[in-house]
This record gives sequence, structure tokens and C-alpha cells, in this order.
Amino acid sequence: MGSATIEMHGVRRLYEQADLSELIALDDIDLTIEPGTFVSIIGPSGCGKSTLLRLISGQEKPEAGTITVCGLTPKEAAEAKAFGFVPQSPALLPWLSVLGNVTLPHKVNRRSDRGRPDLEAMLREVGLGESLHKLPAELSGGMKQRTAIVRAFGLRPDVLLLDEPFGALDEFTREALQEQLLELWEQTRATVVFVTHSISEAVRLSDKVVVMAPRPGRITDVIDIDLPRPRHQELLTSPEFHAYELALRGSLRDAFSHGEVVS
Amino acid sequence: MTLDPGTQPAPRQRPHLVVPTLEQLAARRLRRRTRLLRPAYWLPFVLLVAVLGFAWELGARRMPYLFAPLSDIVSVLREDPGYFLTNTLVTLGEALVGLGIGFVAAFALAVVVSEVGVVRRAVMPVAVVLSVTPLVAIAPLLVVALGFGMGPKVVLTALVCFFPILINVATGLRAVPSPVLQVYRTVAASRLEVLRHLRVPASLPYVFASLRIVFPLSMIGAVVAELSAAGSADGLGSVIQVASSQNRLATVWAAIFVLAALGSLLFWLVTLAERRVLHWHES
Repeated sequence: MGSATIEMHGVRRLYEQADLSELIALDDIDLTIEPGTFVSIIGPSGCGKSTLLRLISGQEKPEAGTITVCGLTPKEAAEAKAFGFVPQSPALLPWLSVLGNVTLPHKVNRRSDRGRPDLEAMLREVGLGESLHKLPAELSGGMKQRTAIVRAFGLRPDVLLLDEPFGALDEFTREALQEQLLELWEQTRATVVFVTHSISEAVRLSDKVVVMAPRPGRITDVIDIDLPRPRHQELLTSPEFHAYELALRGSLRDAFSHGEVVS
Repeated sequence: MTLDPGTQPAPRQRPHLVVPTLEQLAARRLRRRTRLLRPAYWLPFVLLVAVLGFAWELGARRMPYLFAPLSDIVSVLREDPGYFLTNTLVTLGEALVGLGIGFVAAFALAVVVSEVGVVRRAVMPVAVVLSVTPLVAIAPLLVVALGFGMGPKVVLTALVCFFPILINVATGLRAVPSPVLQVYRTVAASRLEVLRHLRVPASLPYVFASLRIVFPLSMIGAVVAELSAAGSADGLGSVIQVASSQNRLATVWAAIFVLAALGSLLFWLVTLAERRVLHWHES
């Protein structure tokens, strides 16, 4: 089974508020994600980025519109273990070692498991070779998040969903982890949906950046990033990279002002 | 001392550590090992015990109907240790059997409560009320209903332990952070799998918190039930009841001291088990 395509048509998601009015978290979302692409979703807080991920992975249902993943409904795709998910907090189990944490997802929903790759080797690859048997409490923030990333990649998913995975990390750790994320991705070429609020992160990682605006949450722009891969550290200082950053920044500013006009 | 450089492992680069010399190391080890021998560690406790002992003896002179001299208590214990031992084992047995039954029942209900919203909304308010009710008060009724055997003791102990365990474990089973649940729901883990791999382990700190409460409570349950069925059976509660009616104060106090020691022992065992099982938990 190869990679997947995600298709969303006219997707709308409402949340009932305390005053019984309904908040439009996402409005009329049309989005097609080609197999094997790295797509980032960027936008100010409250624009429905995380909601979008929860809809794709079948945790929530839209009020209107259709979503398919690999031609399946999100729920069926989850049943088939098509997803790997990395939340903002590493969400490791404190009583399991690093190795135990990346192994446990293989022990649930066994029928659909796609076989365990050499998880120890993967952990070693991201620099956790000496920490295989350590507990999460003994790890730094960056090491915890790397464990969470290996946990997701180890599932051999068709679609990787990452919800601001590096949001809580310092700049140096963040850049090192971006590099490792790209290396793991080059090997698997899964389809990636990466939520972020960092412009340079979005440019560095993605083939395509989806710009969203809040109130109501909607897509305002899609920018293709046509930079060669592999994208190493040097790329970050190149003029092409800066040009993309500027373009994205402009697009985001538009998204912001739209939001302000509406509210 | 010279070693063949070929067999020596490469020294690890650790510029951030100050490595002590062998003499320093020995001195530090000794200091750490003899820490407990320093007066600052044991003197406060010993002083307090001495003051309490003195106050006790004073009390025994002034209020002979409340306190017995420590020497009498010790000699009662030494005269017939077998008597206290058999009665201790009876009380301990009742307490542990009751606790075991209460624990299994409470844990099972906690699982149902955490999984089924309807049951939770029905059970939890009642459980909260009953957990603050002094259930030991029904001991006399239990004796009337269930007789003088082990029945009322075990039932009372189980009942007294049930609600604190239920409330703690039900809370613990729902203590899994939502990002963790989300990770495992995206791989379509079943409810049973979530329960087994996430909820039950996450509840362990709460289980131990409840055990710390419930082990002493189980002793109270067993003793109160024995007090209410005095003379009919063995157990330290019966010992206390019979001895106090015959005004043998030293025996009463001896039994109470044994109960205190037993309670501390159980508490210590729970702490020990907790440290082994919950090494991952910072507490």
C-alpha cells in the first residue's frame, strides 16, 4: 500500500458555545493533498488548524462536507492504522521506557498492524540509542518529542499528522528536530500534514503551505514551495528561502487583516 | 598504576563533571553512609519520645483510670506474648480479608463507573456521601444481623474500605491526559485496550493513595466490629473490650500499642510496594 491522498470538500465544523451560539471552527474547506507530499498548515491561533487534523483522523465529524483518506472515511482509515499522530505535548506514558512507548501502538488494534520496523534502529538514528530503556522523566523536551515522532513513524502510516510538534522547543532543538523529521520522512515518503505557527518551519519542511485565517476558520491561500530536497541547514540562509518566507509572511498578514475585518 | 593503553576504554568526555579523587570519594561515601548516625537526624525524634514517655508516666500517677504505667504494659506483653500474637493474627486476618474483598469490588465498580457515564452519574454522588459517613457506626447492627463470627468483621472492614478505593480509582482511571488518548484513538485502540494499556497503569498512583488511607481504616473496621461483639471471639478488639470491663488497663493499652505497631507496619509495607511499583512516578 502506497501513500494516500486526503480529500476534503465543503467541510464545515461547528462548536456550540456556552451562550448556545455556534462557532464556525471551519467553513467550506476544500483541500486536496497529493500522495507523498509534505503539507504544512499555518495560521493564527483559532483558525481551526487542530480541528482540521481531528477531522482528518476521524476524531471529530464535520457538520457538512466530505472527507476521504485513501478513498476511505477517516474512521475506516484510523481502523486500518493509516495514521500516525504527533501531538504538541509528547504524550508519552511515564511508566514505559522510550522503547516501550514506541512499541505500545503496535500492541493495540493488532489486526490492522503493518508490522514493526526495527524501532531500536530508528531510535538510534534520532540519537536516542543510549536512552532506549530510560523513562520519559529522564529525558529532555527534545528527546521526548523525538520519541513521539518515532512512535508515529514506526507505525508505517500512510498519513502523518503533526500538531505543532516543535511548538514548545527552543530554536536550536527545533532546527535539529526538523532535520531529523525530514530524514525519517525521506525514507518513508508518507503524506504529511504538519500544523505550525512558524513561517520558517513551514517553508523549510513543506512542498505546499496552506494558509488559514480565523473567524470563521478557512483557507485563504496555498503556496507551493519549490525548493530542492534534501533541505539542510544551509538552505535557511539562502535568498530563495527568504523569498518564500516573505511571500508567506505577506499571505499571513492578509489572512490576519481579513480576520479583523470580519470581527 | 599503569595500564596497557590498548585495553583501557576510551575516557568519556565529561567536561561538565568534577570527578572526585579516590580519597574524596571515600570520604563522601562515608559521610553519606553515616548520615543517619548524626545527632541532627535522630535526636529530635528521641527527645520527643522521651518527653512523651515522661508525660505518660506523670499521667499514670495522676489519672490511674486512664493510663497504665509503661512498665506494667511491657510486663503484660512479656508475660503472655502468645495471647497477643493469636489475637493480633485474628484481627489482621479479618482486616486483610475485608480489605481484599472491598478492594476487588471497588476496583471492579470503578472500572464500570469510568467507562459508563450513566452508571457514573448514578454512583458517584452516592459514593461521595457514603465515603464521608462513619460507616463503622453500623457495627452493632451487623453483629445482630450476621452473628458473632468473622462475618460482621469482614463485612464492616470491606464496607469501610470500599468507598475511598472506589472514589480514588475512578478518578485515576480517568487521569489519562487527552493528547495520550488522542494518539491511541488515531490508531483505533479499542476501549478494552485503552483500559488495559492506559487507564489501569495511570490509576496506580491513585490506587496506592487509596491503599495508604484504607490499610489503617481496615484495622479500625475490624477492631470496631470486634468491640461490638465482645467476649464472643478472638481479636484485639475483644481483648480491649473484655480487659477494660475488668479494669485491666495495662492489657487495654498493650493491645492498643500492638495495633499501632501493626498499623505502622502495614503503612510501611504499602510505601515500600509503592516505591517498587511506581518508580516512574515522582512523589
